[in-house]
Amino acid sequence: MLTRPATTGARDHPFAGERHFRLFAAAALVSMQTLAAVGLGWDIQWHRWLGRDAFLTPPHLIIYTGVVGAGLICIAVVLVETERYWRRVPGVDRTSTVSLLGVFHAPLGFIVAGFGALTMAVAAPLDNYWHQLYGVDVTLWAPFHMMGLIGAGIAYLGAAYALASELVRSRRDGTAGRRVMIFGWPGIALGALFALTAVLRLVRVLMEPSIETFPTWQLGPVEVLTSPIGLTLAVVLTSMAAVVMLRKPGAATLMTFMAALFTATVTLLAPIAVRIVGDASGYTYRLPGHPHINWIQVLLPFAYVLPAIAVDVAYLAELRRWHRMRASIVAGLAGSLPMTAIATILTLDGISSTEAALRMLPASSNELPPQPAFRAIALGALVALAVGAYSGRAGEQLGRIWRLNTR
Amino acid sequence: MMRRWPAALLAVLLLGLSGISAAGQGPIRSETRYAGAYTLRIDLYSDPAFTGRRLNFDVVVDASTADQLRSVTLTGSAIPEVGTNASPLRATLSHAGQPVGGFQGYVTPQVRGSYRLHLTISGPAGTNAVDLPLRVAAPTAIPIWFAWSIGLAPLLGLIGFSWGQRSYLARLQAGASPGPPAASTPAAT
Repeated sequence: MLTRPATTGARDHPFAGERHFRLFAAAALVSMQTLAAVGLGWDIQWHRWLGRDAFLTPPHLIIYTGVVGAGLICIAVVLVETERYWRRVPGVDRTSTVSLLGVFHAPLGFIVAGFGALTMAVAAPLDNYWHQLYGVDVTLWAPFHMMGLIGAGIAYLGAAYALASELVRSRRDGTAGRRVMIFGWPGIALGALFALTAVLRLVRVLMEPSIETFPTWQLGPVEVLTSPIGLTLAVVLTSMAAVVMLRKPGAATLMTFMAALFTATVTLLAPIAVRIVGDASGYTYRLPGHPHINWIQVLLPFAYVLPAIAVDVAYLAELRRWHRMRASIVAGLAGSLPMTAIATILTLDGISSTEAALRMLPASSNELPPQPAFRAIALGALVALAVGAYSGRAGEQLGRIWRLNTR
Repeated sequence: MMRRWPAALLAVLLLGLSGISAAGQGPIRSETRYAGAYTLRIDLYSDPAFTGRRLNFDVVVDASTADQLRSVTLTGSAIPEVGTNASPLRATLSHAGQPVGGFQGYVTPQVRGSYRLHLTISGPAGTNAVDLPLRVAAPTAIPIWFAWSIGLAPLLGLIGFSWGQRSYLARLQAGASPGPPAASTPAAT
C-alpha cells in the first residue's frame, strides 16, 4: 500500500481525524481556562473597588462559565475517547490514552484538567459560605480560595499535558500537518507554552498577599520573607519546563513574555471594566476616587521575564558542558537570583504602596504590617535559592515528561 | 414494616405543607418609623435574615392627606454596620398596588452581621430617610482546621500525582527508542 510520507502532514493519515479532534478540544479547553483567568483578574479589581454584593457578580459569572465550560469539555473528551478506545479506532490505544477506573480511556491531560475543574466547582459554594461567615475582604489565603486556586493549578497543568502530548505526537509522525499552521508544530508549541503561562500567572496571583499583606511567615522562632520563595518556585519551574519541553533557545523567555503580556492586558482593562459597570449601575466605590489604571501594576509582570532569560541562557550554556542534572540546578539558581531580588523589592514597596493590609487586616486596621527585618529578608533569599535549585531540577523533569509523553 | 412507609410519606407531606403555609403567613416583625410628614410601617418576613436568602419586606407609607401620597417614591439599601465586613446592598422595591403608598421589597444579604435598612422616601411632602436595624445570620461555622483540611485536600492529590510522575518519567525513558548513543551530549534523551 502506498502511503504519503508522514512528515508531509498528510490529511489522509489514519490518525489525522483523531489528532484534529484532540487539538480542537485542547484549544477549546485553554480558551475556557483563559476566560476564567480573565474573570479572575476582573474579580480581583471588583473586590477592591466594589466589594461583593452578590454571589453571581459579572466577574464570577465569567469565571464559572470558564470553569464549567472547561469541565464539560473534559467530560466530553473522556467519553468520546473512551468510546473510540473500545471501538478500536486507529490512534486511540494504550500509547495515546491512560486508563481511569479500568473503564474510561482518555489523554492524561484531559483527565487531570477535568479533576481541576471539578475541584474549582466544589470550591465555589464553599468559598461563598466562607464569605458569608467572614466578610467580603477575606484574604486570598483562605481555605476555599486556596482550594479553588489549587484546582485551577491542576486544571492548567492538565491543559499543558494535553498540548504537550500532541506536540510529541506531531513531532514523531507529522500527522498534525505543517500546511495549516494552527495545527502544525509551531501552533501547538505556542499553545503549549501559553497553557504553561497559566501556571505561572496563577502562582503570581497566589503570592499577592505575600507582597501586600503578609510579607513574612513566622516558623517557630524564625521569620522568613515568603514572596521570593513562591515566585522563584513558579518562575523557575515553568521556565525550565518550557525550555526542556521545546529544547529551543528562548522558550522560557517567550513563555514568561506571553504570561506578562496577558497579565498586563488584564490588569490594564480590569479597572476600566469595573468603572464602566460601576458607573452604569450606580455603585458606591469603596476606595476614594474612581477605578483607574495602575501603570506600575501593568508593567510589573514584565519583570518576570528577566529570571526566565537567566534560566534560558544558563541551561543552554551549561547543557553543552555538564550533565543534565547539574545544568538544571545551575539554571535554577541563575533564575532564582534575579527573581529573589525582584520579589524582595516588590514586597518592601508593596506593603506601603498598595495599603492592601488596611483592608485585609481588620484587627490592626490602622497599621500596615511592619517592614520585614533584615534577617527575614536574608533567610527568604537563602530559601529561595534552594527552592530555585530544586525547581530547576523539578522543572527539567516535568519538561522531559512533556517531551516524551504521548498519552 | 412495609406498612410504615405511607405514614412516613404522610408525615413528610405534612411537614412540607406546614413549611409552605408558614411562608404564606404574615410578617414576623413590624416596625413604625416617622420620616417627616410620612409614617412608614415596615413589615419584615424573616428576623433574623439569612445570608444568601431574600429578606422580603413590605413598607406601607401613610400621610395626613391623600395628596401627599401621590407620586411617592421609595428607595432603600442595607448598609453594613461597623464590624460587618460587607458591601452596601441596594434593595429592590416596587409598588404593591394596594394600598396606595404600599411597597414590596427585598434585599439578599451576603455576609452575616448587623445592618441597617436605610429607606429614603420622596414625595410632595419632602424627602426624608429612616433606618431600621437588621440582623443577618449565617450557617454554623465549621472549625478553621477543618476548613483548611478540606481546602488543602486537593493538594494531596497534586503531590501524589507529582510523585507518580517521577516513576512515569522513568518508564517513559526506558520505553524511548534507544537510537544512536549520544556520548557527546549527556543531556540528550
